[in-house]
Amino acid sequence: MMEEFYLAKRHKNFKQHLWNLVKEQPESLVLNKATKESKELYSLHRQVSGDYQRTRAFSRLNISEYGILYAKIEPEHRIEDLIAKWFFSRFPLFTIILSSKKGTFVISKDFFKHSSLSLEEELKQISKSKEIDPLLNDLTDFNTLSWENIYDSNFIKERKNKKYFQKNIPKKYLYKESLLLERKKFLKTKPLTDFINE
Amino acid sequence: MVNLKMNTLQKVKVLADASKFDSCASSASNRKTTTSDRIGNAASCGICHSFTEDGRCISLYKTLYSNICSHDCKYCQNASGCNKKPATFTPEELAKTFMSLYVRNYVEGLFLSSGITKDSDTTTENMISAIKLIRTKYKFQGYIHFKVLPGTSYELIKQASEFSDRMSVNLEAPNKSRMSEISSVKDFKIDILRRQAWLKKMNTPAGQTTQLVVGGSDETDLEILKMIDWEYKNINLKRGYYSAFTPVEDTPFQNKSKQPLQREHRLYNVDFMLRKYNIKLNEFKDILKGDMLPNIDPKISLARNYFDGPIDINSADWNDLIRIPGIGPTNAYRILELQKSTKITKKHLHNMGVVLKRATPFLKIDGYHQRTLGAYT
Repeated sequence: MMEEFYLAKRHKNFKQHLWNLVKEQPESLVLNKATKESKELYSLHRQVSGDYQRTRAFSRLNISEYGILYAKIEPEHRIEDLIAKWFFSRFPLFTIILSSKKGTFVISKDFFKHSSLSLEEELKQISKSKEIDPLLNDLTDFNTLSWENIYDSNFIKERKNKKYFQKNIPKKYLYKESLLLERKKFLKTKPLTDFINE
Repeated sequence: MVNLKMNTLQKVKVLADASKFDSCASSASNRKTTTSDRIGNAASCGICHSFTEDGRCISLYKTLYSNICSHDCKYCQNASGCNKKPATFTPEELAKTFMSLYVRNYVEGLFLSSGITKDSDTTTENMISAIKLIRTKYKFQGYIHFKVLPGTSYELIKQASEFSDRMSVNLEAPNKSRMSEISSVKDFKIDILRRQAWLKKMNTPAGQTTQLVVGGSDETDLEILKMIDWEYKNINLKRGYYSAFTPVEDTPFQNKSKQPLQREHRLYNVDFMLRKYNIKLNEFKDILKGDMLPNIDPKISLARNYFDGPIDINSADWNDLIRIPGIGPTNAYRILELQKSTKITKKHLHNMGVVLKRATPFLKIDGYHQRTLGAYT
């Protein structure tokens, strides 16, 4: 039954005694999250799961023509290895290098390692032993404006909904300076008339 | 070389903008990927890669192949006679732009639609060339949603289905007479319903969907719901999308009034209950006012009509639980499981995540029924 909460162990504030307590509770109550402790443990599991989802969704990869996809990631909990494995399952033809505060994670067909080298050093070292990948080489010529254009074009101004937008997008992944400024402005205390006139 | 790059960039902007009113929230597919010599996969739960300022999720690279169109749909910014910058991708440009975005993890898949340039078949052939390139040259095995253009031939639809996860034909209007009010070219039965029947046979991994313009032809909510209910029963539709009409400049409908987003929201509420709760359309007819949904949560209106008195949480069955506001399918299932082993209390319900504020007026917990002002008015 504890498989239901497997991600909770990766939470930065995970407490073993909570896990042990839930383990001893009746299965039907635990599985339906009907006790306070199981609810708390499930909440930890959900927080890690959310962090995993957000990191997968908002991490942008860079391309090296040597068949390497790399990025700096900022997960809140201990999930770097899961993210690396997920990207590798999506791009099994390439080597994935992800770096975070906890080090650099490298995964490819032949190996998975956690190293203390920086992202740049790992990239340099792995590139040496690889040949140019024709598929990725074809895609290196990319202008980030393409993405900016797509992002801006998707917005329908008649539907502008600041509150919904702020709720959905995590603050740390607001990559556009203008949106970040708007968010800061929004979060500052404003006179009531400003909200009414919006 | 520089000019060519600029052109592609401009096309990306114009064609993404031209497709912004198309709805496509889902990127989940049951596609099975078994080989490791590929790029991409389709996550069963779908992933949102960003959110626009209107709060909607950006999951797919949503684009038109071309914004040149010979049809005259009166609400559409791409219709013939509308003032626009004409742009058309080449299959290579489209494939490369999409793959560049995908490997950088900006998007989860492709949503490809188009205006009808010469005729439906010629445009569809070009669209197929693009997705074929994505699947073969770039070895992409992720999600592709392919819009079938009205009037496309069976052979081409069949060919497109081999490369697509999901396919769809837009209904736009709920019936033939409403369709004639917005377009003089489209034949509702032949161009749309017949193509939907063909799609049913193709059995793509993520099925087929459709979209309606809410308020485009002054139709009622009942007309929309009747049509969508028919589609769920007869076309095996996975889900319907509703887009509240917004007037666009330089179109014949530019002076028509905008539809409230609340209307779209209520239609989604009822749609969810038709699909997931298996509630019959007839029950909703009782809560309509002049064939329109009132601006109240339809689940609350339905519960007020359905229940004669409070329901005992410890003996309620699935059909009752699912109709109680504040209890969704997940919690209904949890309650049924818990009924087998323990006596359910209010604390249990709170821990599970039941919205007690909405649910308690309809429930008897521990023999106690909390009456709320207005619950049965």
